[in-house]
Amino acid sequence: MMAWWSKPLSLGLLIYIWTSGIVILGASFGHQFVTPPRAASAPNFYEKFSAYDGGWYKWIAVSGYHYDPGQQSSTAFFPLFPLLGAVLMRLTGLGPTWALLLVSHVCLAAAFVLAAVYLHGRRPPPDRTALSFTLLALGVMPATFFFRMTYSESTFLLLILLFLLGIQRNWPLPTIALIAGLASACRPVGVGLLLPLLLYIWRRSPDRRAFLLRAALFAPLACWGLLAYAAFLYLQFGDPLVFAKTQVHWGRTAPSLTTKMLALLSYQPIWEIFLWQPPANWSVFAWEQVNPVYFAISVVLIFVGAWQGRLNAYEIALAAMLLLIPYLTRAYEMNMASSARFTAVVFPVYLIIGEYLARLPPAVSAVTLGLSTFFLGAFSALFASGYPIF
Amino acid sequence: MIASSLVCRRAPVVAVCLVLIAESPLPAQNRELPESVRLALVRYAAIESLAVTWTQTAEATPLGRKKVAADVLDKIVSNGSFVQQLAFRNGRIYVRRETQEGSSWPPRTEEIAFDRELFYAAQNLFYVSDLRNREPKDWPYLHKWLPRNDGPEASYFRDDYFRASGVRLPTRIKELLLSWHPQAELLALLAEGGQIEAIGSASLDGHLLFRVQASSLVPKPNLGMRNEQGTREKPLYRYDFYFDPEYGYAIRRLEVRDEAGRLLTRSDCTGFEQLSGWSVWLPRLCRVAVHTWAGVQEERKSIFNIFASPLYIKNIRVNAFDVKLWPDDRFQLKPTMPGVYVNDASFPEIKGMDGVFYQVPADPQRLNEVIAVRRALYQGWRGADKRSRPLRALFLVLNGMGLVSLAVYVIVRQYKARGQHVVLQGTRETREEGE
Repeated sequence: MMAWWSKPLSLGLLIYIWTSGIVILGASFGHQFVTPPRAASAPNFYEKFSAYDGGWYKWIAVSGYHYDPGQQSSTAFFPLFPLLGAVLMRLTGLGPTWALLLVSHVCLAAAFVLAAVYLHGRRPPPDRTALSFTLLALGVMPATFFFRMTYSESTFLLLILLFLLGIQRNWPLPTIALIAGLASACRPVGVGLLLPLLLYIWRRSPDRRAFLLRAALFAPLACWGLLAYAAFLYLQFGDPLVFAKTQVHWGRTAPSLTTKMLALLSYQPIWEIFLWQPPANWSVFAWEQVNPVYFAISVVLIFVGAWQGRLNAYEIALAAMLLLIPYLTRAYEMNMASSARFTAVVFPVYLIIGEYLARLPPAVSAVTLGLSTFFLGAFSALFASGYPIF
Repeated sequence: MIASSLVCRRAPVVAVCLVLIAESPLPAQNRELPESVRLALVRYAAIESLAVTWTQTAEATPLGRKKVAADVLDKIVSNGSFVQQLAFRNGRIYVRRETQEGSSWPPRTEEIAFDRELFYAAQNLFYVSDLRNREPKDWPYLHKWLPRNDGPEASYFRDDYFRASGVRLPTRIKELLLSWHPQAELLALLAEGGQIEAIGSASLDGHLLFRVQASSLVPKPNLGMRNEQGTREKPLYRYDFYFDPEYGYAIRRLEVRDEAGRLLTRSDCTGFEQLSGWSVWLPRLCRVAVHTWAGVQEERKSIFNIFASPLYIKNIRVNAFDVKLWPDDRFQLKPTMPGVYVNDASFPEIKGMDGVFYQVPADPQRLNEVIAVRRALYQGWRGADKRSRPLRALFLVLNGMGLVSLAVYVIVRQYKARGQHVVLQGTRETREEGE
């Protein structure tokens, strides 16, 4: 008989609570003891959870969207997460930070439960240790601290897991397409769900003609969130693409498409940053250096996992899109900035980590998880004290 | 004494009357500027050193509130209200502007200077989170850069008062790099190829004025005009100068129109004061009525909307004139306080506007050390591009090899699978034959 704590609901919630506790403690430590790089920008502890992009979401939830072609604009940030925050603010009277934090954490808790349910349903079914390690990896990998901030990652993770669960349980196509569409309203990479969706349609279609017909019907439905946002931007600012156009104000501009493509094909954004400084200045706490390493490790894990047959076709397709889209579109311009955060939502990575941890000697697994937990707390502390962790 | 002073002040009036009597106004005919007027205007170039501090406000008119988008108008009004000081001496220029932001924010102070070698820009507020958190902090920021790394058309010095009073100061980088002096706007226009259209007299508020109509023959690039119907026209400027002979031909009114004669701006100046030691009078009060505005999305194309009535009014009130010689170092901005963020692009190896970033340490003795470390990092970063070339080539080759290996692997695997299929089929056929 299954113990109460190993049931998906209790296990997911338990791991969510324990691992989120580490982030809150880390942030609290940073707030109280870590000297900020400059004068503190937010006096309240809870405001520390809404730094950098979190501030943009807060701004949108309070004031709506603005667009100025000459500077960074809030249109770069997709609407689902701030919209949920704004609705919660109106319903409960909470301030923007608390409302967005509540959305973030409810989504994350639900994501842990869904992850546990999904893992239980995987074929072949993982043993209990692998399942727990997978959930622990989802909770303590360093970049997952963003799930607990006023960022849209936890909402997006929840939608990804719902999407995978829908595929696993053979939900009707319209339902899965609607979930994918909702994800496309949450983050730009939401369109990456199109590939596993097309794969799902292909496998459920009796012939090529039926596939084409269904794809033509459901692919636009799977982008409804993005299309609705573009329509809103068109009505508001006269241009449906301002969410993409404002990106030029983040990072550098590629001198030409050839330069960018050559750089991407030679993985330059990943290693380039290490040439900027002598090795003596490299640091595991320098987030700009952590970003490319995190991304590269995730790519390797997915590649190895796929090679060894540990991931199914949908998981591989999903992971490939979630890694490729940000790499091809923003890695050069932003010098891989935020790539660890972008990678944090690639759920199949945790599947591989969970399986490897389960196969390692328990002591080694414990130390690995402990190390990861240390970095989770440390980066939470640095983020809360105003260091450039994004 | 009083009588002689009166005679001195009235003499130009008498002179202009004589000039005007001798030369009756002939519109639409090219004219030479009378020598007496030219001599009076040339005196602006002799001002060796001057610092003017003024308070400027902007207020929207009912038409402006109707015709201009509310957020754009708010921006115009809030950006147009400040206290500014502009000083120049011997090719150097300095501007300090204080703007009162929202009630809960500290006043914003911005300084811009040029010491004939470097440009400096400083501000007291460092907007860490910009629009996202809207929490400006009192963290001074200083930027230094070389003129050669900036665009020749770039302009950072706002000279509203001088424009309103008909005095031309260079503001663009390419102008500042040349040897320059303040000039009367009319003479500057003529030097650029502009021409006088008409000369005459006019009366304004009981003052007998000397009026010069001129046109600019130098069309500004990429500038198009749009009337209320939104049609574009060829740009050309017409100027109407109203000089007051009583105050050394200082400008009492200046109107700028487009080619069709539609008014763009009108400046009215009063309260003239003679600069100590110079035969130059400058106004204490100026009121500038602006009849045009550029929409935010149209700004880059510089298409202006023109209206018959003003959209907003700029009021300028001079607080002080200072003709004392400013020392050279007042045209340089130096980071002295610990904690100041510095973007120092003044080093010869710097290729752009951004340079070496550092923060002034608490111990000023360590400043040079901090700069040296950050400069070494900058040089490492610049050198990275060169060092990355072999690595880039290596990874591209490895990519190619990986692709080839993958292709070989797939082919071999398929070949083997086909071979096994053939063997299996052969075995089955042999077995069937045997049976």
